Amino acid sequence: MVASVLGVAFLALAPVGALATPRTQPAESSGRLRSDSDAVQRLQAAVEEARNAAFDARLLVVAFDTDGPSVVELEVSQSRGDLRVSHGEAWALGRSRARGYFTQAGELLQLGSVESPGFRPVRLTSKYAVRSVPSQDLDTGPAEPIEVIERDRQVLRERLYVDRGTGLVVRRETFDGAGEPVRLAVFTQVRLRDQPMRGVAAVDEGGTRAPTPLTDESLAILADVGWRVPKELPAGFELQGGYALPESEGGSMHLVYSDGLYTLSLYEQFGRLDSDSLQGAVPVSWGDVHAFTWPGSQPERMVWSGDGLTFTVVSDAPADALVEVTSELPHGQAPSLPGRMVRGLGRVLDWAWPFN
Amino acid sequence: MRSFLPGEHHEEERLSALLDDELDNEDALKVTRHLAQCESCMAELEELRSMRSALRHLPAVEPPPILFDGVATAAATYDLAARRSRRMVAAAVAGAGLLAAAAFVAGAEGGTVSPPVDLFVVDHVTRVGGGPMVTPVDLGRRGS
Repeated sequence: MVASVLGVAFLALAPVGALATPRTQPAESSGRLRSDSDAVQRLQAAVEEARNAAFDARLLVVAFDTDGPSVVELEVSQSRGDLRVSHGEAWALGRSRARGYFTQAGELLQLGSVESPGFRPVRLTSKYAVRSVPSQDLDTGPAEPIEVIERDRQVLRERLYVDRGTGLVVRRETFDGAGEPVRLAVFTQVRLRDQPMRGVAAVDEGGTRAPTPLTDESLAILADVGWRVPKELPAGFELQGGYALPESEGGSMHLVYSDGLYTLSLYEQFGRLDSDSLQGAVPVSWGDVHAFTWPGSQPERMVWSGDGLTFTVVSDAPADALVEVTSELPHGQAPSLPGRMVRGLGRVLDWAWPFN
Repeated sequence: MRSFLPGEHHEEERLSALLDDELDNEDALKVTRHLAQCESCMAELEELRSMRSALRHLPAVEPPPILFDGVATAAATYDLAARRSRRMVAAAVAGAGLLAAAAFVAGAEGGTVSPPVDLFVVDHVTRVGGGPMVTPVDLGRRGS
């Protein structure tokens, strides 16, 4: 099993190195890059196909970091909005009947309703240029590559391969802001099914975790009392919605952002970070930012404290985007006693103000 | 000028102090010795004692009601104002203390927290993750 996975990894890695070096230069090196409308339509069709088709696949994920590549192989089943991703018998997660779930060690945890931001071509093409490149033959058959280029930096961010036979995206190469490969996700095996996948048998019986959707008014109130609710984040991420998470998670808030290509989750909790609780985390610093991360982890995640809050960012975006986001949000040491008093006085006056 | 020396006369206040038992043992002894030898001082002492006794036996005089009411009202007003003033000061101090305490509590950072990063990752991938391909997820390999 290990040998076969490594063998596939070797086959999968070879084209990445070949395609990523040298750094891809867009054809239009000056002026505003334009999207190829055919490429956008093809990408949108592939996303729709993945949502509606019923298939089983094996997904190989290779993450690159300074310690070298790390490899994990997953089983994926998808049909009509339902999704199941599993790693052998270790764990499984997915969506069933528009509700998220997670199983591990025989226990089921319900995650509440699914609120996926979805694929929005307009948002995608406002930040990125999408274009087609000549077709290639992959292990799974001939595919039509689509490149997604960040306009401002004029750097390749994604290369997506749409399988000519199934219409699915079967290979996804992700690059950082310097054009270096950071992740490869490839279906090494895809099998279409006529029947929809089975739901989770005990989906209604597991432990329930029910995030509460927050309205714009609720988010505004939370912002007034000290939570951070930016409508926009660096790297082109815009607020899509927010949720109040259960008390069991420390009374945290979850904000969802999207830049049209990647989704970014920002979790906030009141209190300073207990860094000893972060198993396997690596401290990273730049400027006056001190954070913790897990190099090579998928999706990327970063944790830090600032202004009395602890932030956790989770995203499928490359790490450089998380660095931009972290730099923009509060970070630093605990405020002094006068700072605490001033902040507390402001909150008290705000609560007591009769016109609020 | 009278003195405590033998043969000298004492001031009236010294004799009064003797009657009031306000002299210490040494001074009282000196005055008593002199009184035993000085008839004029003894006579003056007896005169002081008689006057005090007469004063103590004078009948008590009731103050006029108007005067009493005025004094009582003034006293009550003064007392009320003082009490109000004290209460206001106490209330102001208590209020300031309460506000400071509330500000201190409200300004707290909530201690330390341990983010459930694993759960956040699962939550992100399952509930809001999406895009052209399933979001790659790697649990339990990198200390997540």
